[in-house]
Amino acid sequence: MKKLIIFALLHLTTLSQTGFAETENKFDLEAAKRLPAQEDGRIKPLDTIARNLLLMIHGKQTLLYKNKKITPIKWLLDMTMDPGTSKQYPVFRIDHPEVLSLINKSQKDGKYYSFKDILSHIDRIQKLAIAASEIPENDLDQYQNAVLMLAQQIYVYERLNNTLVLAESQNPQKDIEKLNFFLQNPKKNLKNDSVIKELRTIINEESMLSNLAYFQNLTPLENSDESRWYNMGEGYLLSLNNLYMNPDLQLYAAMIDAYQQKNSVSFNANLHNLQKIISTKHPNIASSMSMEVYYNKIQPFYIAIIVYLFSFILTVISWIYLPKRLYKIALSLLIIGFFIHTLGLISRMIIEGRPPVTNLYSSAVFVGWGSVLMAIILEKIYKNSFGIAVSSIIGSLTLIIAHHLASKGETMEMMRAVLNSNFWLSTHVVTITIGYSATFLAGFIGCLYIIKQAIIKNFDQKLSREMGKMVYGVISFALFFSFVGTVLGGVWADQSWGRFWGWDPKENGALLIILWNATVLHAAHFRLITTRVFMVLAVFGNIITSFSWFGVNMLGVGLHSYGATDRAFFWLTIFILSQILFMVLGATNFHSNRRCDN
Amino acid sequence: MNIKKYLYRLASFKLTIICLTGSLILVFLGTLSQVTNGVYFAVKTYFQSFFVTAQIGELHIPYFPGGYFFAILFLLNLIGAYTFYFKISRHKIALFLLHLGLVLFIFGEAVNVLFTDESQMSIKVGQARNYSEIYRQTELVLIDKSNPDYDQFTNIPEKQIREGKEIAANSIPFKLKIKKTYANAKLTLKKNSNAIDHTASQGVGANLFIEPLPKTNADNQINDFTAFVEVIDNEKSYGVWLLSGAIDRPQTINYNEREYEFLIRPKRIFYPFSIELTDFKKEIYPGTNIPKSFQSSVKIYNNLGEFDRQTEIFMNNPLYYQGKTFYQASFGDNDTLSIFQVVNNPGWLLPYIASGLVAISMLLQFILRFYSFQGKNRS
Repeated sequence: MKKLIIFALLHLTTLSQTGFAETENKFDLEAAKRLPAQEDGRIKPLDTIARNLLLMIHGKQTLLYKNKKITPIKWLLDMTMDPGTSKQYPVFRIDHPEVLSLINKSQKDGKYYSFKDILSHIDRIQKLAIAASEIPENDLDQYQNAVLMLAQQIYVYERLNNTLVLAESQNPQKDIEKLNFFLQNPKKNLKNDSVIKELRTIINEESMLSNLAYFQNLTPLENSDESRWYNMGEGYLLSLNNLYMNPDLQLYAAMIDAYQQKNSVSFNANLHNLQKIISTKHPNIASSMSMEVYYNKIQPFYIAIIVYLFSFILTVISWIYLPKRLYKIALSLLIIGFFIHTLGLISRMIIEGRPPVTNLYSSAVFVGWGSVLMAIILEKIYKNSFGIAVSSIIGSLTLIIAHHLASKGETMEMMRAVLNSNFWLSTHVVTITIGYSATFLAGFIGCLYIIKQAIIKNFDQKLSREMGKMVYGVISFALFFSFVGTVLGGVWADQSWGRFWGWDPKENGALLIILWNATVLHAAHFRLITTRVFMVLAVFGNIITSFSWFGVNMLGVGLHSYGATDRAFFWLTIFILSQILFMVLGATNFHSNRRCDN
Repeated sequence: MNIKKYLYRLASFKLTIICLTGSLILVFLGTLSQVTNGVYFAVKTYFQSFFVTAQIGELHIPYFPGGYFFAILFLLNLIGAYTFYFKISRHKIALFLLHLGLVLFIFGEAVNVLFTDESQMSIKVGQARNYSEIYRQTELVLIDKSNPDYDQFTNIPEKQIREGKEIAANSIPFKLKIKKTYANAKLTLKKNSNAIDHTASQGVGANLFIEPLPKTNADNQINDFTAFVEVIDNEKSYGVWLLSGAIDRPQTINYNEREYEFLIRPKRIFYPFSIELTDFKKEIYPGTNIPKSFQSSVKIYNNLGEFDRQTEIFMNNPLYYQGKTFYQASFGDNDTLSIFQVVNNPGWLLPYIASGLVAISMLLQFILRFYSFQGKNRS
């Protein structure tokens, strides 16, 4: 019976994400999603570009217009192929009252506005943004920050509008026809004045288009994966340069024309032709596009959060009611959640071609994964349901953190030069992140212990000792991995920068974790503290680790300052305060003391 | 005996905990101070010192133990613990080796602080260099240009340029009297409220005013060491020149119809070989500004000018040559200038040995504990 429930749950959550294949008015949007383009150095499907940009500008991955849902790919196609239609979409999110007044609106008008709404005020917004950009980042107030963000979003929006065609109306088919006519006999046509005049207009238009385009959608002429792709504007200009018209250029122009004419038959025909060419010329790209679109659709981490949360709730209920039954279901859910979490992690690794941790986002995903794995092992050993409780909470929390870290859009950025080493990324970074996972695990078990000992009158000494052993083991594990990870970092630094240890903030953060874990272990080992105090110290480890993981990035100093975020500071503070609360709760002695038994 | 009591205290576990906690606080405070003062300043103030001091007026008041203090305390505590409390038995060998590794770490950092030179070598494409520069130290260089075939250099390190001192050398016929020095100063053409009225009588300085600045330890700034130098011999004074790190052209002294030049420049370390930069390539991710890699192609010539070898220096791939290591640090001038960090740390191997020792012992210790724990669980 319970297996059926689990099975049904899994399918329900997956189904809700996959939905049905997308077709809107019979346009094959599903195929359009898989079209590849190069953006920010990486080749990705249009689906990813659409989702990231919509997330960046709109704050969500779906758009509501006149009570109809507009999917990311539909939005992208409207924006790039038929810019006029997209002007109406309420895509800009504006919360700040002063910024709203800039566009003559107020909070009662809502928070989403279209390009049409802000069009007449763009000049003013840009002037304010330029003034605000002169001010150092730390001195900006909320209003200035909001203005800067809006200006940035407008900038991206306008570039996107001018990626495949010029926003101020352009008929790509006509341009293709004129170019083809010219290419039929270039020598003769160069002597024709009217042809030259038309060419000049085309060249001007396409130059402008080539400078404004947000991504490059045309495959390079060479077959290498490393080369730079071309945007539409460059494609037109190149055909004049090489006296040869790239077939994808023609197909894209035909697609755009069909899209503008609302001719789904012609659109789909050209789209499928284009797909055939891409899969023959670049078969690797075609298959990785499909994989990434599928990954986008499933949203594994989102599902994992839900499954983990269910597991946690069931575990908590199991402490009061139906302990055996609910324990089994909670454990199964945990393992399913972990499995989905793992699939998501592996997919990212395949898509990026990198080890699991490459930026702050992926570190959050991995910290959660590591903690959950360790807690599952603990649960197998101790079978006291604490493993499930702690792992489901850490799993969901870290994935929620990751979700918020993804608000800037792209989570699979290219690695800058000094980080461009798969060896060190898989050794140093992964080891240190495992160290974080373990320290957090110990800290959260500590939180659990503190709650239990505050609520339960006669806290079972045997259970207390067991939890003490758990935490001691986990902290030992954490110390080892933190130490090895830090040392690997030192070796990497020695190879890159000429010194093993430079007292860089991130290095200091790692040292703090080592020092703290060592302190706690020594204190416990020499029987200087009780189990309760031991747990309180373990919770402090959470504070130190979050400072080391996030805090030092926010300091903005030193060789390690890549990956800083702003809103995160607020949440970091909240988290630290919550842990201090746990520590205070733990320090207040409700029951009698007993020396730490290990 | 009172001494014995204190020795036992020195070796106690409580002191270990105090040491660990204290250094944790030190690292935290140091890290915070890096935000406003930069990494270099924090390192000098917190980690490479005996005490952390606060400056009130002219006084430096110590308020917290510094890195060296904790390092020594750790060593004493560890040695004491093994002398009075621990027995190095077969079972405890892993822990002993672990702690030995920690001692090696401290030792390695000591060697690093005492013996390491860190300097930079900037080479333009097509140029060759046989020296590197330490930007945080300067030297006064006097060049005897009287011989048409060669120039004779006399280098005077910054330490010896002290106010009131008269510098003499066998290679120069006159003496340099140091009238006034400033650790850091700005040079201006116009006199403003901060400027010193004391101008030079010769050379570029005759038209300049100087504005003393506080010594900076910020990461991206260097100090322009400045001095008023008088050229004298037993009979008379030949004038006062203004020399400064901010003036990179040499200034001329005419003495007895011979020509000399002098200037203050970043301290140079010369090598018995030279490095020529033949090419510099920067690769960016297509369609972006993000650097993917930067790479320098260099040719090395020995001290006789003979070609030795050709090699590439890039991120994560330094050049090891004659005991020195050259790292690709940065670049400039529209990708025509390559800047290498040159490091000469005789103790570079120590952290590697120390880490290996600690890591393996830790692993051993935890495996042993895990097995004994499993044993207890079963019984």
